Amino acid sequence: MLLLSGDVLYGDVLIRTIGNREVEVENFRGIINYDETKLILQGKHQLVIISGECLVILCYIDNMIRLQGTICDIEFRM
Amino acid sequence: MIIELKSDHVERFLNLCAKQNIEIWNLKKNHGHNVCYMMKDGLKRSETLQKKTNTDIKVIRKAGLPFFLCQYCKRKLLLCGMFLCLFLLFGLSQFVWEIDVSGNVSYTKEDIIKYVDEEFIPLGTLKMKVDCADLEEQLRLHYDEIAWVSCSLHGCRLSINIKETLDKNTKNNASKPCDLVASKNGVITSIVTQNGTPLVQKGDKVKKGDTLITGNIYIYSDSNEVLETHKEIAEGTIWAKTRAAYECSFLRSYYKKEYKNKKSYTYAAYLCGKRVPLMPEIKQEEGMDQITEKIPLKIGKTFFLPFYLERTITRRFETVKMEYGKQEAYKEAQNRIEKKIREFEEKGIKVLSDNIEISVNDIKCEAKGYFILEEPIGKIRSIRDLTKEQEEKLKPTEEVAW
Repeated sequence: MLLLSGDVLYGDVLIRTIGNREVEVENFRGIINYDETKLILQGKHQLVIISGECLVILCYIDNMIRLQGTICDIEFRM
Repeated sequence: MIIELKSDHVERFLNLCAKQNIEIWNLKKNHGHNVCYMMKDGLKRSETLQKKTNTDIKVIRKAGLPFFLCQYCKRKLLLCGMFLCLFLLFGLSQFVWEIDVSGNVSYTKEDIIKYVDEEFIPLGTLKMKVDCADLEEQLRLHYDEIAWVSCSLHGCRLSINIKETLDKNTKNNASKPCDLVASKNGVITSIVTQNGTPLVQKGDKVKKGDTLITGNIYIYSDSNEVLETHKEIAEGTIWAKTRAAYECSFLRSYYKKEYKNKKSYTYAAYLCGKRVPLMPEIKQEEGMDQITEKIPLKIGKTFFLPFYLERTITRRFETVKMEYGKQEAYKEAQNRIEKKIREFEEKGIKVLSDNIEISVNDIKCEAKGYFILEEPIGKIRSIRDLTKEQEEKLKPTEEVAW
C-alpha cells in the first residue's frame, strides 16, 4: 500500500514555520479574517487560527500564504 | 505599486485575487487601513473584482522602471544622457583596460605587464585586435623559463596565466644527446633512470661534475664485446644527500622605525594612462614612508573602466636605536635559520638535519654550521665518452650461456 501524506489523501492543511518569525501555509481554501494580531484561514475540514503580533502577509497566491511577524499560537478549530 | 484597500470585505477581495493569480505581497494593517503591493497589470485585471466586492483602491506610490520612464520621458536631455552613458559603457567594454598575470615565480608581474603593454597590447587596444595565440607564442619566445602560457580575455581584462620550468638552472629539455652529471658533491639516495645508462647507484659518493647517467647506450655481443653504441638524451631523477654551509651574523644594536599615529592620504586619478592629481601631493622626505596603491574602477568583476584611482598613504616615523638582549639575539638567529629552512622546503629540497652553532657576544650574534639536505642533483651536460674505468664497470661480468 502506498504511504501517502495527509495533505494528498485528505486535503489537510500543510504548515511550515521558521522559528516563530514566519509561517507558510499551503492547501487551504481562503482567508476568513485578517488583522495585525490574527489570521484565520479556511481549511478543507477545519479553521486554522494563527495568532501573533505585527502580522504581515508577505505573499499570497492561490493555495499558499506566507506570514511574517511574532507568531504566538497556531490553533485548529472544527 | 503601493496601494491602500478600502472595503468591508477585504478578505473576499484578497481570495478572489489569489484565485485569479493576481499577485499581492507585503500586506499589512496600517492604522486600520490595509496597505499592500500590487503590479500595474494586476491592478487592471482586478477592476471587475473591485466592483464585485465593493472595494476602493487608492494608489499611494508608483514605483518601478515603467513608472520611472514615464515620469522622466519629458526630460529629453536626461534621457539623452542616459543613452549616451549606456553607449559609452558599451563602447568602453570593447577595449582592454587591465592586464593580469598569474603563475609567475622568477619573472615579476610588472616586467611581464610592461613587456606586453609596450610590445603588443597597450591598454586601450580593441579586443577584436587581440590575438591571444600570437601573444602566447611571443611570450614563450621572449621568456626562456616559461614552460606553458595561456592568454584569455574576460570582459575588459586580459588574463595571462604562465607556468615556469621547475628548475630554472637546469634545462631539462635538451634536444641533443647528453649526459646527466652531478651539480653538487653528495651521496646518492635514489636514482631512477628513464633513458641512458646509470653509472652510479644508491649509496655512492659523487663529486660535482661526475657523470651520473650517461647518454651512451652500449650493446654487447655474447662474448661481452661492444657491438654498437647509441647516443641518447639521458633522462632520470637522481636525489642525493648534500651539505650546504650556513653562515649568518648580525649586530646586536639595530634601528627600529617608530611610526606616528597620524596618516596622510592623497589621491590622484588616472584617465586613459594620464595621471591627474586630485589633491596637493606630499613629497617624500627623510623619516617618511609612502605606500601607493592603485584602485581600479570596475563594474562587476571583469568590466574595467579606463579610470584608476591612486591612493598614497604617508606615514612619518622616528628611528630609535634598539639592542637585542642575549636571549632575543639567540631567538632572532633561530628565526633566521627557520626562515632558511622554509626557503629550502619551498624549492622542494628536504632538510634532513642541521648542525649550526649560535654564539652571542657583546657586539654581534653569529650562527655558523651546515644543513644536511636531500635534493635532486642531475644537470645536463653535452655527451662525453666514458673513461676506461667506467667502461669496465658497465661491462657484463658473465658470458651469456645459451
